[in-house]
Amino acid sequence: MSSGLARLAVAIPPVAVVVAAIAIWWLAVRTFDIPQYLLPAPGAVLEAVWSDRERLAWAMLGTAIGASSGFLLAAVLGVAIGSVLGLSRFLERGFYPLTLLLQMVPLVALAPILVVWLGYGQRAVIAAAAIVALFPVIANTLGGMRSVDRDLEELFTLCRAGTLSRWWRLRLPAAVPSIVTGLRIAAGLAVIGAIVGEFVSAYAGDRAPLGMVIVSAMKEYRTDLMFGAIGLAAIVGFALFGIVNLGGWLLLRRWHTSAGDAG
Amino acid sequence: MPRPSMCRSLLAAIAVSALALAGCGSDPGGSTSRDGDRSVAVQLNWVPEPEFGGFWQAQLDGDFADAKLKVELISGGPSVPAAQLVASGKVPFGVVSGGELLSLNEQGGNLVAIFTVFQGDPTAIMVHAQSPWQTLEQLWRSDATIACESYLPYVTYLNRMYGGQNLKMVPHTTSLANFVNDSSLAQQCFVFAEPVTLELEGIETRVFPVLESGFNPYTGVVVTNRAYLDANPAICRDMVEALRRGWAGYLEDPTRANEAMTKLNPAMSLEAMNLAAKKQRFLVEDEVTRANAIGWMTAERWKTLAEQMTELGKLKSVPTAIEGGVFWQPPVSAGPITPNEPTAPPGAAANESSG
Amino acid sequence: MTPLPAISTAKASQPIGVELHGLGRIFAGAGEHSVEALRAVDLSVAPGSFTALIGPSGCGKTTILRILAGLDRATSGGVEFTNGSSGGEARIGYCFQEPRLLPWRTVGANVALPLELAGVAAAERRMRAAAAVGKVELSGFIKTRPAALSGGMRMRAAMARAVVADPQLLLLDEPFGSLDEVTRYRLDEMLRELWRVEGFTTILVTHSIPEAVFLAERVVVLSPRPGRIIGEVAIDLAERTPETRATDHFSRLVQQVYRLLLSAMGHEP
Repeated sequence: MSSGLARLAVAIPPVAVVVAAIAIWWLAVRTFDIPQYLLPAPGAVLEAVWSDRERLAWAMLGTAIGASSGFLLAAVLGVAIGSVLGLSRFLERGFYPLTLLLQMVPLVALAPILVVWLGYGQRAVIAAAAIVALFPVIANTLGGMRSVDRDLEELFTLCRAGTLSRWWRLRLPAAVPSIVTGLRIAAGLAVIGAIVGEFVSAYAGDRAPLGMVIVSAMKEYRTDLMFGAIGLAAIVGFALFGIVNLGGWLLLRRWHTSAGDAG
Repeated sequence: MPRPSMCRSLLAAIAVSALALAGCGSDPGGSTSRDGDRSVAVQLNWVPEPEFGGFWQAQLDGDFADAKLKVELISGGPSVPAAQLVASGKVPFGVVSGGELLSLNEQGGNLVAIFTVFQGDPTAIMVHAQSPWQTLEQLWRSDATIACESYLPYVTYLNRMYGGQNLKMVPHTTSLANFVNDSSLAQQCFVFAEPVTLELEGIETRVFPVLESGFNPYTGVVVTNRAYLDANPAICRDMVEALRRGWAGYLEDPTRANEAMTKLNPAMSLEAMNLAAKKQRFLVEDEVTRANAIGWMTAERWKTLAEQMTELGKLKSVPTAIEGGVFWQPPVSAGPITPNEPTAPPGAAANESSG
Repeated sequence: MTPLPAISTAKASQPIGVELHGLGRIFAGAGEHSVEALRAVDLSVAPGSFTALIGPSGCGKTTILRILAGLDRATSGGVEFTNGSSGGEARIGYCFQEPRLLPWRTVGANVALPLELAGVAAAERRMRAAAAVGKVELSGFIKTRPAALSGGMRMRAAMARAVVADPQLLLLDEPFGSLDEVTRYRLDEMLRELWRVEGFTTILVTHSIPEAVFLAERVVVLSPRPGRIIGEVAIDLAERTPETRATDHFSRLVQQVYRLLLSAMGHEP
């Protein structure tokens, strides 16, 4: 009971900040008489979202599917690549700088060529989402594998554990908290990647994803709708982030200190 | 060359938000003062290409200087929100499309058109020469994939006329790579731009101009905002007259302006620019311009566009004030300025005035 | 993975003896910063015996254990195991200063780890882990994760893990150093009982003289760095019960070891 209340109390500061930000936004639009094409009032945004709710629901679904598929792809590939690089210093030195490229590459510039390679539609969207989400997963997997307690490594040496066994029984589980951190970052990035991918690759129509809705609204000076769609994209990101957090918490709650020491 | 894109729209959205913050309570008249300083900027909506040829010609021929205007031409691009920049007073002049002006004004903007480069909208759909579609209607009734700006009014217009339920519309990017790679792809273009570039690379296309379907908005529209026009009518008048002369000069001989523009935009060769300049001429000139001046607009055309857009659901209503509201233009002071007439300083032209 | 030889023929195994011949260890450092941890250590440990090594901090006690376990290498001298039953490598159990449990594993799974790494089948592993957990009186916590255990319980789990594979030689590196006195006494008694029943050769490194006296049959005293053997005290206690610590004989033995230690530190008795 009291822990439920405590959890509610934790939610108060962020909610208060959001409410205050919206109030300032609303006041600014009113006071300075800002035209809609520059900045819509919060009410106008809600209205636009409500009146276009069916189209926006489909758009959210489309973006959510693209982003989470890209996220999953990045999660699997990232842990695999990070693990392989963690096997030897040679591999790490050889390939880690290459994976850094993933972070450096401007996705906006890369996205059009993804369409040339993969064709229009979801494939390019998923690829764009996966590309931006991949690096934090690799980096955190590798970091987690590298920072395994040396004492535990010694325990495995004592037991004459083989490389594979050591990876599976020690390094991978020990890296889980770090991997979860990487996945959290990847969740938000995957949504951004998906939206950028949609800018260049998604099919238009009644069920077009959020990226298309944002572009259309932008070009028609429907900033109310555009802000609404951007807000919904953020909600998709929060949802993905929340799922990762929940998964991480379930996985870690019984042993990792950051998830709270069990009594 | 590749026209507007969407892949940088997020940047544009950020730019608009920044404008909104910066725009609070700022002077809508822009950076120029009433008299004295006659330095103005024109925000183009694309990179230097023949569609802006007359602007560079006016610069090279001294048409701006003769009108005592110091003009800075600011290159645009897919992520430059030209219409918002002008509406919010960040620059006094900009180039937008007719549809953009009407839409923005309905969202609280205050743009006024003062000149139009194109009488005929250059927007077209191109397909590969070996593709089966012979007409725009055939294409629109097929299940082809079209890379276009699907939110533009002409798309809705064509959907109303031809159905288009089976079309698959995908984003129009700045790249021609998809089109080159996929011989079944159709792509939005400017009649005189992308097809020319492709032709020079040996790729044959068939081009269907959208205006043939009956939807023909003004394009390459020079706009200012209402407050600036009210405060600086003389500058606006001189700007329009300089543009009329510049465009007349460009139609006469585009080479010098093209040379200047290809230096600023090496992506388009001089050869392609010269070819494009030739091909766009019929869209810049028509009986209206010959009777009045290049860049001349009529209330009837604006009204038609507004009615069509209202009909298509792109506008809530037709603006009440068209002439003097949606657009404003100075009378032709020196009679029709045509490419065949030698350029003359404004004073000399005024002396020849026939009223 | 190299399976430990003959591991599943468990019970039949014999405790082994240990011979250290002139063992030396120098840790190389930059220039003059190399450290000589051990110098010419000769020690003979009989199969099935319980030996305690005691000495000031940094005298290289732990280094001896690490060399025996194969975690470190001697720079001079060598180690010989005697009475090895299979002719292959010796089976060695090791208990570190800290529990070193895997936090994501339950007590049972932690204890079973050495068997798992040796390729023992799951069913057998479970059985033997349960038995080892029973010996340290943690049966009720076999499914508990380390985070939910007290320090003493974690150490007991680590001890169970050290003995689960029926070691021929058990090496204990100050296993109870971080525990409170009462807990420590209890664990000492538990360890002594474990040794008595299982019969593995045991070498214990400790800082605590009473602990060394209570547990071992023989207390070997080392000098400060570089560690050398100064002398030893044979512990002739008739029995080891909680009462034993309160006897005069126990106190005399403690004093005897203490004097030896004092002389090792450079104080004349």
